[in-house]
Formats: sequence, structure tokens, C-alpha cells
Amino acid sequence: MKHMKTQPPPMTDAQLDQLLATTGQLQVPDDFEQRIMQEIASLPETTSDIKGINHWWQLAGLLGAGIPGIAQVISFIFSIWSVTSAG
Amino acid sequence: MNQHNLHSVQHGDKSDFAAVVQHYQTPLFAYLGRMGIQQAVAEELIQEAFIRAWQARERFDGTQSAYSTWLFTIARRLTLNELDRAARRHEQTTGDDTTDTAIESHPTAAASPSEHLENQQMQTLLNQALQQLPPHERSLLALAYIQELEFSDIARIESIPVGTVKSRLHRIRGQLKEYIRRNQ
Repeated sequence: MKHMKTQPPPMTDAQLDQLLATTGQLQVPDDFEQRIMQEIASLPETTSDIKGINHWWQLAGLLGAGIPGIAQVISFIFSIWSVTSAG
Repeated sequence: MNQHNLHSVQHGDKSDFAAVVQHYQTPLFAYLGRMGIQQAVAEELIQEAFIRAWQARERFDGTQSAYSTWLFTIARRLTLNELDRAARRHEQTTGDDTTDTAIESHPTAAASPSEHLENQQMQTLLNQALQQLPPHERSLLALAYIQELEFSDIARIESIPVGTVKSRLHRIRGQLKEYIRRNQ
């Protein structure tokens, strides 16, 4: 009689899940969060930070130049009106 | 991790970002561990992922995806690049196209010597089976074991439809079980 090799039963999903759950576990170092925050603190200012600072300078520049500009236009219109109305 | 924290992070609040790091560091280490990345390399990659997330914080759009999805997308890209570089390094030194990333296993509970041995053998077989998977399939499987992530999140991270995530996972799990059964 030919000897039949017995096949192991197929693995169930639960068995596979259990195996996978214990596979490749790495440790989070105790100081990992601090290391990252130190690294972030040492980074140069990002463009967004610079953009934030630039935004206020742009606004100040706009107001500084815009208000005298508008005053010039108004005085020009007023001078035309005063010349024409003086006849 | 709530919307208020994320909003503060986007406006440059470092203390809230520390909370983000605290929240996501464990799942990220679990993901990279199942990807077969060694401890020291994983630390570098996860650190890099957090730094990139910080630097690109303004580009995160909470209406498009969850923060976890965004962070894991960054980590996945870095990890696949690292595996690609490792494979090329290995190819250059040995002429082989397989990487030598070893996946460590940790038995959960105290077992008898025979159970422990059997468990070790199964782990070894599983590790061999995992190393036969292409990196993007290993990534898909590793993401499926992250509790924070739904199928829809995995689909977004992997840029494939949800149905494809499910069918690929089913196929990959079948392959792993078949490999272990054949080599048992």
C-alpha cells in the first residue's frame, strides 16, 4: 500500500492574524518624541513663518504708500474743480 | 487627536505637534516593523516623516483626508524609497534582487517549549513568506493591521480603490497561508 503523506490543516484567518500581530514589533524609544521636537526646534524658519512676517510688512507698505497716493488724487481733483469753478 | 489640535498645528503650535507625535509614533513603528524595517532605520524614517509633516503642515487639507492618512502617506513614500535603495545596494553587492530586511518576531504569551518552538517555526515561515511579497503589497498588509486606519484610508494611502484593497488583501493573505502550509 502506498504511503500517503498527511498534509497539515490549512491555516485559519485567526491564526494568521495572531502570527502577523506578533511579527516585526519595533520599540518606540523613550525619548523619541523629545528627539523629534528638538529636531523641529532646530529647523530654520519655514517659508510659511516668513510669509506670516512678510504679510504684515506688505500691509504696512500698502497703507504707507496708498494713503498719500489717494490724498494726491483727491487734491488733484479738487484743484481742477477749484480752477474750473473760479471760471 | 482632535480638529482643534490639528488646527493649532497648522498655525505652527509646536506643543500640539508634540501631541501628534505622541499619538502616531506607536502605529508608525508598528507599520514599519511589519514592513521589515530594522529599528535604527525605522527611527530615522519616522523622524523624517514627522519633520516633513511639520514642514508641510499648511498643505494638509482636513476636508480631503484624515491626518493619519496624510501622515501614513508620507511614511509609506519614505519607506518604499528606503526599501528601493536597500534593494539596489543589495543588488550591487550580491547581484541578487532580494533585500535582507529581517522581520523580528515577539511571542505574546508564555508557552511550553514545544509550543514555543512551533511558534518560532511558524514565525520563520511567515517572515520568509512576507519577504517574498513586493514592498507595495507588504505595505498594504502592514497598513491593514493599523487600528487607526479604515479600508477607505488605506485605499487613499495606496491610491487604489477600496474594492482593490480588499481583493488584494484577500489574495496576499491567501498567499501567506499557502506558503506556510506548503513549507510546514
